[in-house]
Amino acid sequence: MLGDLILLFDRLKKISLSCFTLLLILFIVSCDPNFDPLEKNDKYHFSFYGYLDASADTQWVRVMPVRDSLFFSPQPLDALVTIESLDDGKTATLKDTLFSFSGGRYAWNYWTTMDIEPGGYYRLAARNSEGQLSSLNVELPPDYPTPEVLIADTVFTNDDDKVFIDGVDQLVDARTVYQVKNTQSGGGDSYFTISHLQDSSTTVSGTYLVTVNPYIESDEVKSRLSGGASLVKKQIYVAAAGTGFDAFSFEDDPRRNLPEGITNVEHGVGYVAGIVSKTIPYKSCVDDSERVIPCPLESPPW
Amino acid sequence: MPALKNTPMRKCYTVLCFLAFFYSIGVEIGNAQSATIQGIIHDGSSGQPLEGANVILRELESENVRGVATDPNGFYHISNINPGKHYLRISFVGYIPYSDTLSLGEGERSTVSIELEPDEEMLDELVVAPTGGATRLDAGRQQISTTDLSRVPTPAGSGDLASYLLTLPGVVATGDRGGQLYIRGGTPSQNMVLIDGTLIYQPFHILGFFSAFPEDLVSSTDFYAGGFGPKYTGRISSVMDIKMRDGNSEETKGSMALSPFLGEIIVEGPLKKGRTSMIGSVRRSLIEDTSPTLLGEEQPLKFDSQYFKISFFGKSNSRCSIMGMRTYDQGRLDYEEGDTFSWKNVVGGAECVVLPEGSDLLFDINAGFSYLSNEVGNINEPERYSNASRFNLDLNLTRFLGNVRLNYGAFVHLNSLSYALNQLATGPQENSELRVELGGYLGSTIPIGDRFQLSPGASFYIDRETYVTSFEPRIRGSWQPFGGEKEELSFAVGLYRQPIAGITDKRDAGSVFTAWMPVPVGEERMEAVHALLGWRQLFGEHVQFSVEGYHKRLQNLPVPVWSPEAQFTTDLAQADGWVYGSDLRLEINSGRGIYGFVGYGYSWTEYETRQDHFEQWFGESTQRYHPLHDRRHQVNAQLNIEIGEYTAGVRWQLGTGLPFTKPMGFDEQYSFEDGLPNVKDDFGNSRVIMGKPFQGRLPNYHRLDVSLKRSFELPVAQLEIQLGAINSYDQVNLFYYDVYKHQRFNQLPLVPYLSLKLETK
Repeated sequence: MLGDLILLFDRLKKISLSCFTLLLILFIVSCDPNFDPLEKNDKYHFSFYGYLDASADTQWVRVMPVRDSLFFSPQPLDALVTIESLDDGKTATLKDTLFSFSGGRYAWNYWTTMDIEPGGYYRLAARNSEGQLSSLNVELPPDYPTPEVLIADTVFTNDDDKVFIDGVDQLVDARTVYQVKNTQSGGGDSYFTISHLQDSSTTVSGTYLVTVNPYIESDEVKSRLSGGASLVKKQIYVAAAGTGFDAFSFEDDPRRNLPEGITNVEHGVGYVAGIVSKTIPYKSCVDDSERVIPCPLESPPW
Repeated sequence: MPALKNTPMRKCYTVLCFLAFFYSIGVEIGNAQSATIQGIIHDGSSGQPLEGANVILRELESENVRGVATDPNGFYHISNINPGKHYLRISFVGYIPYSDTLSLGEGERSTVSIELEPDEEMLDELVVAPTGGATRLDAGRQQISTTDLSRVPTPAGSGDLASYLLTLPGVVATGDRGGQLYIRGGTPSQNMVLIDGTLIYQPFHILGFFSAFPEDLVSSTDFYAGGFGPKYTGRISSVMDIKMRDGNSEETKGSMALSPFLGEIIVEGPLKKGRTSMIGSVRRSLIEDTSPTLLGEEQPLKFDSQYFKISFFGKSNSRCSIMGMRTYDQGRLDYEEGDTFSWKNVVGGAECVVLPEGSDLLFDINAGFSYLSNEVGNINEPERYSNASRFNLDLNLTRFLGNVRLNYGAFVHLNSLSYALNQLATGPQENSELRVELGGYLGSTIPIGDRFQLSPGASFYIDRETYVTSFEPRIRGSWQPFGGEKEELSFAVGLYRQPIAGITDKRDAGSVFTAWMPVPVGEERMEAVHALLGWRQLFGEHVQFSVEGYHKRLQNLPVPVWSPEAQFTTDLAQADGWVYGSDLRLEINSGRGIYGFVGYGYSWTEYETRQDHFEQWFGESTQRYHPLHDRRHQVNAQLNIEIGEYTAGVRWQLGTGLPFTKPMGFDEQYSFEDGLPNVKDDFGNSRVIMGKPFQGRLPNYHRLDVSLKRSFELPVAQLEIQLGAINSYDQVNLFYYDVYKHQRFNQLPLVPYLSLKLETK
């Protein structure tokens, strides 16, 4: 056995020089280059999401950097976020607030109390210390009349409740809002909403009609109300945008996920809409002659 | 008569005329006085047909010598023999030659079927076959023997087809796990793997060294990396036609093997001595159990397989067999929290090869069933599954017209396909279909003089569902310019179509889930045109060199719609493709215990696809890209040295980086479709902003495997001990990169192993 091993190593030695030369060449060509998994990004600096609402006292917009990692720690955001009225040149700097979400996630939301006017033009911009700038222009729609609500008589008919919205180019939100009081866990207030944007249509005259099936709605509300919670208030919230609103493009289309699919941001990603919202009670208001009229406006719970 | 312009019928006429022309060149018209000799040559110990046995017939009066080699069925045929006395000699390396003197009368058709007995003394001396191996390449075709399989260091008791294939230029794997082989630009679902004539969908195990075809079960493999003949229909990339070994018909034998990677038991023997034999095996992976100790980390990969074959040997001229195989693979490619992939093959088949007494027609009848289930997600509640099953009935006939060999046949294939995918974003997608194909083929081998041989043919089939006919002409040929086997030029050209597609999300190297589905009705089937040209050169007796260039034009490839969402989809777009490449192989076989092989493969694969959203994404409606498996350069080097009782094996491989899609960044995204986003209460949906697909390249890959083997003779058995190491210099090879977690998933590190194999004498 030992003799065999000596013979084996002797033969290996004879061919080792040529093998070594070959392997040396192969090792040289196999040297690893640096591996950089990320593509260089000099196109998208910041991500913007949210809306400017002429009916709101405070405007909230999500502004985040386009990051090189999915996960991140809540470090200060290197961004100066400003809003400028393109009508009168008035400018304000938005303040930042760090929000925490479930799963240990964080996000920066920026806010301002600057007056936002229906029909106005505004420019939002975020710039970092390296001078990289992302910006977008937001056009708000003109104001429109308070919607009218027609509650169906569910005792004698199976009709849907109806909301009529006039003077609107593009309806971008319609939902019922339920404010609830949780009597069992300290009595805190909360709310939930049920979207009816998909239940909207336009009439021949251009009026938006939103329908709410009271039976389906009732079942949904029951399922959302946890034990001990009681309903405090029921409202309708609608929002309209101008003709330039195009965030509904590519519905159910993968293009909506392209960085340049649904966006109005230059050198960035995301979408900020300009809207005028109306919040009204979920009821029919009538005048002395029993004609349906708009109810008085209310504030949404958020 | 209706116009035949551009119809399949017109194409048929064209090819028939084409064939008739060559037959008129090749056929030596027999006369009524000439005699014929034919037969089937078997291994006397196992009953296995011997392919490549030499049959020499010498006319005693004139000393004229005629010679042929047996085909994969062990069949030979010599015609146009002058009546009179002849000396017949049948030989095969490692067997005792057979010789006899025959007296052939006018017009006599003599059938001489022989069982050659192994020459024990010669087998002992026979270390490695002096010829053959990886350079024995003939227009994309390579015959792989068990000797070839045994040479590749494999962390088990014996070699394996998967380990061997990965030493060949032009064969690309995305890593050492997943069991996905890409051959000369083709994808795994475009490969046809046949086990004794029956399709098996996914026979390569999740741990890439292993397949359902270990050295001890395989008899031989016809591997076509392209340019395959008309007998094979329904795939457009490659064919692996694997003949499984028959059990020993004379004595009962068994073996057991154990390594940190797997355990295996094989039993074989006669059920009726000399007439019926069986062979069965059970294999199970052990890496999941041994890896915490051996590697210090978990490798959640496991597989097992069970196999049996019963062979019935008739009176020399007939042989039938039934076989069954089941394989199961399960594992996570992302070891930490990824999806669990699993797949199961169940295959059953029966085959009969018969040369009826007095007939010159060799029948090969095959019926089989193959089933694949394929799942991913939670192991108890998979998110996606795909099932595919296929029943086949094939009739293959062989006969000779003079010197022209004709192969023809007919088939019925029933394919049942179903899949279901659950996606959070797009909701469930599911479908099932039954497709029936009826078809046939005609092939031929026509010698033209002593140096030139052509094999024209065509296949045709009709899909019962769509009534679309496919007509696929193909031709192979070889030329030995100097009249001997030392130099040979070979070529192949052919048209190939595939009506059933396996859809994998090729954006994700960490996914091996394949959804099998028919190419949508009304759309064109996948199509490929292969063109190959090769040269083979023998220097002296021990050094062989071959070079082969190839080109494939691919059309109508279904590729997943490119989506910025990182998720599986069955939304398909069509792509066309181009593949160029060449293989260089140098083989040294001293015949005295030294074997060396160096192979280099260059490959260039590009797809072109047009999708609706490209205009917005890229500013152009068409995109060209190098797909996931486009490995540009590949080097394999292998050395085996035998000294006394020891066998040392070394294998080194290098592959340049594979394409992948680089992310540009991450953000949170909101949809406006159900209303305005509430940025204070809703975090949004995390999004990867993907760059242009496949623009990045993973790092190069290289690895050195070594082994040292020795056999010990025990009183009733032989013990083989193998000591070896995978990835000997512990190279950190990237398997894939998880863009979400910024995390590398590497291939196997240095893995030392010791394997034991005990085999009864």
